Amino acid sequence: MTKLFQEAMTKASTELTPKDQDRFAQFLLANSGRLHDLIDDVVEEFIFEKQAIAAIESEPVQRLLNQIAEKHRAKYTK
Amino acid sequence: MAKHLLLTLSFQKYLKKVRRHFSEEDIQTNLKEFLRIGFRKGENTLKTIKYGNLTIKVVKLRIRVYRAVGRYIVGIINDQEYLPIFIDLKTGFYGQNLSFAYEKRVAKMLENAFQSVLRDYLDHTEEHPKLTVYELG
Repeated sequence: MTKLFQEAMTKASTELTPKDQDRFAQFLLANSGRLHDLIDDVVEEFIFEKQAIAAIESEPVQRLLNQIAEKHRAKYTK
Repeated sequence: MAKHLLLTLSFQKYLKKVRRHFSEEDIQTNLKEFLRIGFRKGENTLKTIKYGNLTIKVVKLRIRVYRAVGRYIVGIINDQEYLPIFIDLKTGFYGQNLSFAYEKRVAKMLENAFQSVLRDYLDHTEEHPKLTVYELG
């Protein structure tokens, strides 16, 4: 067992109620074959969000957002 | 203040890629639901930008129609104008190689989507329409 996995298990055993520990264990056993797929899915979502934020913060997009702000300012100060 | 959905020509192109699953009406219905109940599981604000009196919030939302599950990014301008930026299906990632090259491809795709939709929004005029407006209530 890796150190990180041990830490996760300790956290689960100290922070979850015995009933929730059983539910957690049942989930792990039932989904052990799918865990890799689940992790991939979470990682993919994380990459998508990270890149979306990077796109918003990129110089060309920031320039366009500034132009939109200008357009609104001109429209509402007429 | 009335709220509107603005569908740009560029977003309509992205929507065309998933037209077997989602339509313009589905987006309208989904956004009305978002206005009614707020964020659901897997949905969140990506960024909020303020320019004086103007606030642009960018959110990631989920859309489910029958068995198809998708996700889309929407720019919300002053809580009045809802501007969808990009949409794709939230399936088919299992077992994919989530490499650095994949990450770069996602980055390029999203940057292009933001640029083309925002340009349409800026270039839109009554003489040269670049977007369709729908009522959201």
